[in-house]
Amino acid sequence: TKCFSNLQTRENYEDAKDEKMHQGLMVVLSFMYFASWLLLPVISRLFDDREACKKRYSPAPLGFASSSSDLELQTFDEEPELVNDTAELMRNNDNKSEIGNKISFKYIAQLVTLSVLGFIPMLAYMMALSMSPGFDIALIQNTSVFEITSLLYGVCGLTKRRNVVTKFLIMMIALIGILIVSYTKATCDLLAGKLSINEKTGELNDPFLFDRLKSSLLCGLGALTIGPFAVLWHRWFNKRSKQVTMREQAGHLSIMGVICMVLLLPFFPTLAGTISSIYKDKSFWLVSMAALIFGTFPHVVSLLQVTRKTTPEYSTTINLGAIIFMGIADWICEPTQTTIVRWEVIGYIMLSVCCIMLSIAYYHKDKIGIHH
Amino acid sequence: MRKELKYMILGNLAIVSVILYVTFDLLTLAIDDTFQDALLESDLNPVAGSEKPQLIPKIIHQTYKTTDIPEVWKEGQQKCIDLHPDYKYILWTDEMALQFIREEYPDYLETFQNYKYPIQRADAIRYFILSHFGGVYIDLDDGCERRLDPLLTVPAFARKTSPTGISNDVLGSVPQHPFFLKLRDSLHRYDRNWLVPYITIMASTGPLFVSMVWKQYKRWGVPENGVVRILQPGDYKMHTYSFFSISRGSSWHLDDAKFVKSLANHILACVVAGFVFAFFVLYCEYCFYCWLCSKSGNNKGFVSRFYRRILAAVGLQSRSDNASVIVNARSSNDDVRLRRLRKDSNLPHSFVLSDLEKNHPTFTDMST
Repeated sequence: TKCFSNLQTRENYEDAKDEKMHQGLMVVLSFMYFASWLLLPVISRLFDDREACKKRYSPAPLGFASSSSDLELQTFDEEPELVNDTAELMRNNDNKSEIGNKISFKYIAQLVTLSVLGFIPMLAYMMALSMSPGFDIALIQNTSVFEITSLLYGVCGLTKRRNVVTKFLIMMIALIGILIVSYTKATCDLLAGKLSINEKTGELNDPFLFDRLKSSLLCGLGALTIGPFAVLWHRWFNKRSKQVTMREQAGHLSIMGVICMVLLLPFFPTLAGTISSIYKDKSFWLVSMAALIFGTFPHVVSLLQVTRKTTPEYSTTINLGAIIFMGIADWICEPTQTTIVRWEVIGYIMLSVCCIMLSIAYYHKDKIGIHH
Repeated sequence: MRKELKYMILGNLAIVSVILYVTFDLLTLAIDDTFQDALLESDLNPVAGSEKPQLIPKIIHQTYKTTDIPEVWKEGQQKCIDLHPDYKYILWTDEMALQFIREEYPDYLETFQNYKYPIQRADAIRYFILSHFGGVYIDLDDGCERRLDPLLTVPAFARKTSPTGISNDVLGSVPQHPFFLKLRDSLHRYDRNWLVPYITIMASTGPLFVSMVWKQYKRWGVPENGVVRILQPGDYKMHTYSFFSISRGSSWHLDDAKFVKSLANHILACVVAGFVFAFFVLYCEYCFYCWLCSKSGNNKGFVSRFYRRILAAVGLQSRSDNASVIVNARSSNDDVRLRRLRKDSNLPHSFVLSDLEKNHPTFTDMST
């Protein structure tokens, strides 16, 4: 986020203040983001090979993984875990036959639906980054994603309905922590001299106030489509997490990346100016590649792994972690312009503690299948 | 999908629809299109010989409680008078305003007199006098810096305000302009108490009211010669070419206004607070839903039975369902058995009943 924000707000280009330039950068960066998904199948081979090796030598007996006492309100159905070579072989054979059946209208419709649902928040995120500081956008986006996924996972029966109120209270404390951080952020910016108050009116001297409001709302509301995306992903492509390999999921994602890139193509005829400006700019490519390779790409890979290995709700804690790490990144990248006040620290502590508590509450290593 | 969930989703959709309907005009303000109708350089500073005819009558209107104007605003007022010796100047006092409404618009007298805050009357009267006489209305805290002649060449004008919409501190129009007639006619409909005085004033007669009516006015196309041109911030104040200068104003602002305005300093926190509040409400509903689900396996609870009776009363659940539930509750001896029924609820309904019929004579008795 920090790198993308830096790329969108710097004034290296002649037309930096031009609206078209900003729109062009937004489209190019979104395109690069989706293009990075094409690398996922390559990386996924590493993970699948490792897992296959582990399983081949594991002495796990044939049988049920856990007792039926964990069952709750017909939401979950824990599947018998057949972990032996025969099962592995059968699964591989199933996968091969599945590949042939995959190219169906239903499969394409599923991918297009998910692509559109994933495309909207990405575009909103990039658009918002061109109008607001990166921290603001990271905060509102992750808050929005955390809220909508937590809620929809619950409503759609993807989570265990145990200790719902306790978890809700922890979530609310985490959100209040986020609220405190967002409130004190303005105070910190004022103290750091990034903003100033008009002494006569008592109002903020910020010509971009409306832009900041617009971008926060745009990013927050745009990110809401991640909720249906996550639910549908689990229903369609993560249904029996034990049997789905990462290679398969990476394959789905790479096709979705291509669809999203196709969706962006109509914008390209108007981007001649932007592309010619950034073409020779080495620093642009350096920063954008760093953002993709060290930022978004590991994020997608880790999300894939987390959703495969644990319960769906566990992945919501990643959003809380992202807010904490964005604060740290801001502090590292702008050491001379960062002022920290007591309440901001309290907010981060509340957030961190709740994030850890939720992680412990949600963590469930056994693979869980969803009832249909 | 469970019945409870279906009703909760429908309920939420209904609430969202009502909120959207009520706040639609407010939401449309998020799209700032004040530049479309902006007063251009060629309108405000025409080259010699290309001046357009003046449409708005040469009248300057100002309002105050009495004729005893505070010292801080006297200089601005005098500047307006001095710069426009050929204009008619009218200072509307509270008494004059009431008299005018009583004589010319008796239908609006009740609304006008019932306003809780005096500033609402000061706001409302300007729409009446502009739609009636035409001319230029200027707040007393706005002093004139140059002649207003270029502004008189358009049928109506207002100034852009920050962050979006138009303000009501400087307005101008020809008599019977459709926008000002709409403003006048909308006063009664928007006369609501929003609990917070600042919001009540802003939304019933103030700049928010003007902006929302302006959005409505433009939504289905503007009548011929009915366009409202917008004075941009640079032309309004703080520049050498600006028409007005500002002295200390907002005399009606109380602590609540200061608080609302200070929220702009924490705009991110406001958006986050909105999201957190929405999450809180929706997750509470989800917890309630979980509680209902857990209770539906144990129908001994008073609330659960009460809930089902309500559903039956409004026709959302048949009475036979309700009766069978009561029978289940009465005939069962332990919670474990009921939980078991809940787990097997995907079994056909008839299958469950026949099982009960075999094992519970009470059920058979009731059916006879």
